[in-house]
Amino acid sequence: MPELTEWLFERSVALRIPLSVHVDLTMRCNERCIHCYRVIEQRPELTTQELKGLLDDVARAGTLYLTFSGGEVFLRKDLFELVEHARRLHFDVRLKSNALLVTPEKAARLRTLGVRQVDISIYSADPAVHDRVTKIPGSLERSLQGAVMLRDAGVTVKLNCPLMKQNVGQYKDIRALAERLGILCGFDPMITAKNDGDRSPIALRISPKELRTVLQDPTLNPSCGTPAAASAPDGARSDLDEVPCGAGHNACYISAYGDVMPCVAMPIACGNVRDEPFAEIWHRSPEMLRVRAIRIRDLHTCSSCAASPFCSRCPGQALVETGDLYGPSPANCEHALARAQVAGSAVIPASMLRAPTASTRRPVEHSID
Amino acid sequence: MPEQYLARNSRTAWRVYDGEAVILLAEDSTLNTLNAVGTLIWEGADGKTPVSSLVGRICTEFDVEPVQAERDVTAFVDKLSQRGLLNVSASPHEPR
Ligand code: SF4
Ligand code: SF4
Repeated sequence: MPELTEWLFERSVALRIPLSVHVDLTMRCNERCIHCYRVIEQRPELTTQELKGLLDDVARAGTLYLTFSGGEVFLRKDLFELVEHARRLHFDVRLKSNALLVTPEKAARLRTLGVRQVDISIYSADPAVHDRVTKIPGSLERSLQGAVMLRDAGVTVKLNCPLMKQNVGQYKDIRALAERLGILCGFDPMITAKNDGDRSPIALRISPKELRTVLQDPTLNPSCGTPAAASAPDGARSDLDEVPCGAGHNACYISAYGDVMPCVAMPIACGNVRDEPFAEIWHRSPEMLRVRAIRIRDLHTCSSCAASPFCSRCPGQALVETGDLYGPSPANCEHALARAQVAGSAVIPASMLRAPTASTRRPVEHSID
Repeated sequence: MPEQYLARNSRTAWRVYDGEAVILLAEDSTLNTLNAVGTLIWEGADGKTPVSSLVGRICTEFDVEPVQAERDVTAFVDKLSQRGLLNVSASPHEPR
């Protein structure tokens, strides 16, 4: 992390400022992706006025980074009204979209409004593969057209590609495509369960062998080939008093229905902005305070894990996978093991060494070969 | 010195934490932080407030001599203009 970004992260944690807020504007979508983790509910989504009021509250709370996502954000007729309101409040605005509905006019408007970046989900450079994931024929072509319109308008574009069984062999083609188009791209090999606990998307995850191949690619992992990070043989960690991550400290998520959660990846409803003001939930909700109180030393297995230097444990992921916010995430353990192996380290995640406790008794999804 | 007016680049995002501004420029995603005097100027850079009035406020709020305040403001404005964060003009205009 660059120095100033790190300083801002630490300062916002210390001051209890929700520096980054992710707002889902709608759960409606014009794609039907096979790995989608969203859950559509019967409750009405927040209205334009409710969202504007929420943005006022969130600006007062000190948020700088604002992400509008969904669902597909361009399905909201009031998207530009909301972006304009957000920019008037001086937020840094980033959109996540499939770009199917982008036009040159809309792209130019986003540029004028000062939107910093649009992240576009792309699954393959091959239309057959991409369209099979989205279940919308012609979607790759239209998404790429949208990406080019945004790029030409002067908006930073990033192609985001979750890696799964269906497309893992093609990430180099996607990277080449992004380079050809002169836009950014990123890959994420973590496919999560749905927010309601439905684990069906997990079957799409890549195998440990495929994961090691991806991690060994120095163009994707610049640290690849550098000496293994030091870790004490007994797993003693020097960060026991630190917070596990920004969730509930300087990150916050607000669903399209108004539920406030510590992070988009941590489905713990702490209150609803229709019932009480955002600041009340952020500062006083018992659920938020419980998450905020957690330190590394409170994590029953991870606090003594020798593989932690290779692990980017996500507590939300642990919660969704095992129901235990304080335990390891089996998927993160697998990733940590693969990273350690790639780095030439013999460390094993603590979760794979110990007899399972009551809260970690669920089986690991893939066997480690 | 002829009157000048300062306007924040409309592609910046910013907040003031504990009296110090943190500014993000959309073009390159760079972060900039300002001290208390810089933050006063930044907040006043609305395209309508004359620089002389900002200098006056600095003298009052930070107990600085006008000559020194003017020198500080000029240096600060030069630096932020070079970074593409501030626009300077000879006449006032409405912010976006
Ligand atoms: S680690 Fe997971 S829960 Fe924590 S901030 Fe990151 S995504 Fe959210
Ligand atoms: S590898 Fe597993 S046990 Fe170790 S810190 Fe990560 S999630 Fe916890």
